[in-house]
Amino acid sequence: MNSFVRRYQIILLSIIFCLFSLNMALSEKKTVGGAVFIEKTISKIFSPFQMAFLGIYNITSGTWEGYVALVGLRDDFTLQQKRVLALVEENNRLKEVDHENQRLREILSFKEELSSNAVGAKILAFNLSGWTKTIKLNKGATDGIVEDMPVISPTGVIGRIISTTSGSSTALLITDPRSNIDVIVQRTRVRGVAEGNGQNALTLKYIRDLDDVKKGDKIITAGFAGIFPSGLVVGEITRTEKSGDNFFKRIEIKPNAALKKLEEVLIGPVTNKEE
Amino acid sequence: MKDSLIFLIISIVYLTFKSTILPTVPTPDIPLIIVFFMAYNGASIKGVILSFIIGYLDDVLNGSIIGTTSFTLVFIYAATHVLSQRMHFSNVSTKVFGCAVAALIKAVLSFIIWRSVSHEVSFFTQVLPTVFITALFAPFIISIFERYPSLRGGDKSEGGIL
Repeated sequence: MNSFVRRYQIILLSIIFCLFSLNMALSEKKTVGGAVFIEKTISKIFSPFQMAFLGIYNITSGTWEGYVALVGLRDDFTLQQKRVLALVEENNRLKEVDHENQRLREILSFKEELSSNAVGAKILAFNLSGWTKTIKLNKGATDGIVEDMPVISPTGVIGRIISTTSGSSTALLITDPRSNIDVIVQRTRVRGVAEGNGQNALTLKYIRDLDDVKKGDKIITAGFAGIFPSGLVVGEITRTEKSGDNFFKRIEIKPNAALKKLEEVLIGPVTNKEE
Repeated sequence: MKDSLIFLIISIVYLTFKSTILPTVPTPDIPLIIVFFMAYNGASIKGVILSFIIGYLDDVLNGSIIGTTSFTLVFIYAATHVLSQRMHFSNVSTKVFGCAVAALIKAVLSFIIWRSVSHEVSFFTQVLPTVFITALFAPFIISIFERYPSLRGGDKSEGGIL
């Protein structure tokens, strides 16, 4: 027996780890004791590194964009070039500040319009590879963020919080296949569920063939599940066709929010002023 | 131990880099290449454990279904170990082929898990660019690892022969 185990120890250990991982994946990790604590710890450890990487990248790309157009002039304008480079750098910095101010003003006016206790947050990291679509935010439990809080922007719904640490949180984007939102078609008030398709769009499910839904219709949150308030824009229908079962339609939604271009978002309980 | 630490650091840097600077660009799956390299260059118990840890970190940092990547990487490690007893990944074409097949297996297993937990996902649009780029970069990355004898760790006799 001992010689068998020693001979095949790698295979046996691999089988054990595979079964353990499979159990976590198929039970979606909730039942594994201590796992949530481990994940929160790992996430907390990595946040400063992600912030540092992002900071270095922003400085480098800003400087590169400021200098690349001037390379060809280096030989002709040496003294003026130094002055111009310094001015360009300052100009880029001021432009960035101006853009940030504009975005923050939009978020602030949107927040006031919603009459909310929402918290503004910056995006630290994107996870858009494969089927997973999540973002990491720089606000966490110490800022009052809890799981299932909505994440929104002035242009539309972004997602919901799925995990938090003390100083950061992870949000599931609406394009992730694990995301399901109760929605209605704004024009006809037909109700359905918008599910992420793992790419950059959503699928509108449970719309019957005889329901009045067409390309261009706006999709808004229904407010039934208690996560998102009603009336927030989710997206627009870009494609509608009959499905193979001749009962439900196959409908694709393009999100209204430019998910890949986000920099700041709002997190938190919101109520429409109209309610 | 030193080789495991180096591979772990490389994976961590890659995962951090990918989530901050290149989130939308298809990049070579470096953790997968590391696992493939470790497995055919002398599999060991610490290799299995490292594969699990790297996969777990990937899932946690990505916000993916926890257990998906750790399962696929450990599976690929074991499968590559078994295959390396029968064929040698000694030239560029076998390494490219091996990495491409490993990337495809990883994608198929991940797809099965996602579908098993009732999430409808599309296979080809998400998978093929990563498989192609991983296979393309694999020889280059593996040749870097092979330059350092300390990274060619593991005892070929450890863990048995099938």
